[in-house]
Order: sequence, then C-alpha cells, then structure tokens
Amino acid sequence: MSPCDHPEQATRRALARRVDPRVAVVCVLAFVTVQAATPIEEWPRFVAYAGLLLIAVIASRVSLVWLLKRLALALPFVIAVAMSTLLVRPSADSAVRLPGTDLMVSGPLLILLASVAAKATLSIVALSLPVALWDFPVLVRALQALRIPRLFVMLIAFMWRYVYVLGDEARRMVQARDARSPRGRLVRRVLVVGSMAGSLFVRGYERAERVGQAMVARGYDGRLRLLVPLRRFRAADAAAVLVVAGALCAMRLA
Amino acid sequence: MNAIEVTNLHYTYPDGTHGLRGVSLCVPEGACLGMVGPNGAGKSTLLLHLNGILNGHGGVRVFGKPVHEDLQAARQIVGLVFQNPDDQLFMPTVFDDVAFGPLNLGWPEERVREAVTRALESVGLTGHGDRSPHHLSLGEQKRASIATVLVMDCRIVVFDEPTTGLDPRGRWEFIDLIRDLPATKIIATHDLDLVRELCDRVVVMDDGHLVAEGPAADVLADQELLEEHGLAKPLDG
Ligand SMILES: Nc1ncnc2c1ncn2[C@@H]1O[C@H](COP(=O)(O)OP(=O)(O)OP(=O)(O)O)[C@@H](O)[C@H]1O
Ligand SMILES: [Mg+2]
Repeated sequence: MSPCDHPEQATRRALARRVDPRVAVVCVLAFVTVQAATPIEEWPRFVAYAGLLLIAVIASRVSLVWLLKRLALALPFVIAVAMSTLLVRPSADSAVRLPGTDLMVSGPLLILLASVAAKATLSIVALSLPVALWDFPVLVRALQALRIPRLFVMLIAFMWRYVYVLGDEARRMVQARDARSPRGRLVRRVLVVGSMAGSLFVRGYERAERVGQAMVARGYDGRLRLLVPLRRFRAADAAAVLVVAGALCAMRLA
Repeated sequence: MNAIEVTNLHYTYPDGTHGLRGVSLCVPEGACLGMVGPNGAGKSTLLLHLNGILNGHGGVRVFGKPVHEDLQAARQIVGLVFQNPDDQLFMPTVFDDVAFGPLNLGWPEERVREAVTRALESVGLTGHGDRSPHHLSLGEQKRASIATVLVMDCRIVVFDEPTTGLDPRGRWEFIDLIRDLPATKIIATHDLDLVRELCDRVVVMDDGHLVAEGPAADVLADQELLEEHGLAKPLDG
C-alpha cells in the first residue's frame, strides 16, 4: 500500500520548483480558499480557476496518472452527494429534469453536487502540487516557517511515516487471515475485518507508546527540530505571488 | 566506577505481567556486557529502565546518580537502540532521524551534519540519508537505528537485539563497529556467537530473574545452564 508514493523524477526539474516551498504553500492555500468561497452559480469563474490551475500543473510537470490517483480521494464524497441527489424525492417547485432522461431530481441538490465535485477537484489538485514538487521534510519545514501550529505540523509529519507502518501491518494481517481461511463466507470475512480493525487500533496505540519512548530516549522535549535550510526570498517567489494573487483578484472582481 | 548499578529492581506491566522480579546488576565502566535469555525473560524490560523510560521499584544508577533524579542527563549518557526499527525510526527521512537526537541536544548545525554523515558512514548507509525509513530493507532499518544512537556519542550504549535481520556481512560489520566503539556497552541478544566475539561478561535472564552471571567464556561453556534456559539444544544422550 502506498497512499503517498512519490511522483516521478520529472517534477525535480520543474519550473515551479524555483519557487520557495513556503510561497507555494501560501499560494495554494489562497487558491483553495478563494475558489471554495465562490458560489458555483458563478461557474465561469471556475473555468478561469481551472485554467490557472492547469498552468500550475504544467509548470510542475506532474503526470496525469499521478493526479488522477490523488483525485480518487474525492470520489467517496462526490458519490455520497450524487446518491442523495438521486434518492431524495424532489419537492414540486425545486424539481428539474435530468438532461437526457425522465428522471426528476432536486435542483438545489444538483447544484450542490456540481459544487462539491468542482471544488473538491480543484482543491485536491492544487494541494497535491507541493507534495509532488518537494520532499516531505522540506514541506514540514515550510509549514513550520509559516507558523502553522506545531501540533498540526507534527501530526502531518507522523502521519506520513506511520501510514506506511500501519498499512504494512494491516496488509500482514490480511495475508495471515487469507492464509488461514482462503475462501470463507462473506459474513465471516466481514466479521474478521471488524476484529482486525480493532486489533489494528490497539497495535497502533501500543506503537505510539513505544515511539514516544524512543523519542524521549533521544532527548525529545516537545519541539520538532529539522535541519532544512530556508532560502532567501527570490525573484521567482515574487513572480509566483504576483501571478497567483493577481489572477485570483481579477477572477473575483471580473 | 560502575557505569550502571541496578539494585533489586521489580517491574510489573499495567496488565499485571511481571516483567522483572528483583534484578541486581553492576556494569563497570568500559565493559561490554552480553545479556541472554529466552523470549519473555525480561531483557527488553530491563533495558528500558536504564535510561528511565520505565520506572520500576528498586534502584537504577548511572555513574552513581539515580536515573530519576535527572532524566535528561541520564538520557544523554545512555543511548538505547530499540528492538524494533519501526519504533526507533519515526522521522520522514533517515537523515532527519539520525539528526533528531543531536538537534535535541542543541548542537550547532555544522556539528550535526558532520556527526550524521559520520554515523551513516559507520553503519554503511552513506548516501541513504534522503530515503524514507519505510523504503529501507529490515537490515538497513536496523543499521539506521544503530546510527541514530551512535551519532550522539553516548558514554553507555544499550542494544536490544541489534543483529536480528542483518545478513552475515552486516552482522560482521556490526561486530567490528561495536568492538571499536569507545563506550560501555550492553547487548541483549539471542546470538551467542556475537556474545562470544564481543562481550567480556554475560548475564543470563529467565522469567524476570537474573539467573547467572560470569565471564563470557565460562557462561557460554556451561552447557547445562544454557540448556536449562532454552539457549542451547540439549545434547543427545
Ligand atoms: N507492553 C507490555 N505489556 C504487558 N506485558 C509486557 C509488555 N511488554 C512485555 N511484556 C511481558 O513482559 C515479559 C518480559 O518481556 P520482555 O519484552 O522484557 O522480554 P525479552 O527478554 O525482551 O524477550 P524477547 O527475547 O522476546 O525480546 C514478557 O512476559 C512479556 O510478555
Ligand atoms: Mg526483547
């Protein structure tokens, strides 16, 4: 399992890497906030957002496949809203006909669906760009430099490491189960998965305790120290800020 | 002077399991002590007391000072390599992990970088600093764990099963590395050959007790003792 496997080497030579990671993080957060605050009824703006994002994607040289994998994260939410759009019986005054079918669905829910799909897609693509461009410690350092609360930074840093450890553990448990009950009935398998989740939780908890011990054993006092030099602000950074800020303002005002 | 003095140490885990049932032990400065015993004997439990991670009943002194009087100081003196690398390596990259201890000690950046480079070199991981621990093989993770403690120049270094998972060459490299390490060393292991190579004294633990102690050559030659505590296959006949 590899929820965050590293993208190809191409991003190492990307234009976007000339920008300081701190600046990139700020730009991405600004982008995500602005588009999330835009009502979906003003849909031409979203075309513009997508255009801006496309430029960033090209400048980052990430591959389509890698992006699509990140996008799969949004799928459950979009499906949830889509289901409710189809299942909820629309009231008479809000019903609209689904184009090309006889299905009547609720207008407001349809709009909600479009909104969730558009905003989730834009946010996830934008947020995955820094992850594709820089190594993890560099981003952690950038978050620190931006005065993001320490607890939050630590949370992200440890999630990154232990998502693999717990993922491996879960895989080993599944393998052990399959080795002993190759083709059990579905109900049984579901029950086994339930108890596995429980024991995974306990193992995760015990692991956290031991990791905590290992940290204090090496003098940890609650402050995460990393050795990643911070660069000086450069022309590329100013350019990135100006382009993103300018574009976002123009799109909001237009 | 004794680097470590343990007197009548008892420890019960929160679930009621007895980890230690009265252990006393002295390790003179500069010694290399082997600690052997079957699974569940209490070796790891004892080691976790040496820098105050567990706190049982009884006394643990490091260079004459009770560990719990000044935990921070004790932890600078006693470096502990955990049995499982997944517990020891918690940072996003190997470099960050090895640098973790020195940075916590407040060393300046230049010194940290030099020390990390040297430590990675000594365990044969030069050039692996940028990799994530989860992309290393088990043996490489073991070496990285060892580096995270070597880097701190501790006066006492404690290893919990350092060679499990290492290939034969890695095992010999570890033995050479440890032999030259200018520190008091305590090694818990199931690898009797390693003990024979490295240790001057050996203690045997079983069921939370210290059941034997003596020069390595004598203890390891005592076939009856080894058999009784599951450390050797009984001879036929
Ligand atoms: N976190 C824990 N909670 C409860 N009991 C524990 C815990 N850790 C260890 N024990 C128990 O304490 C006893 C001593 O365990 P310890 O890990 O010290 O043995 P060990 O000598 O290191 O064994 P091994 O050679 O398998 O590493 C065992 O009976 C074990 O089951
Ligand atoms: Mg152990």
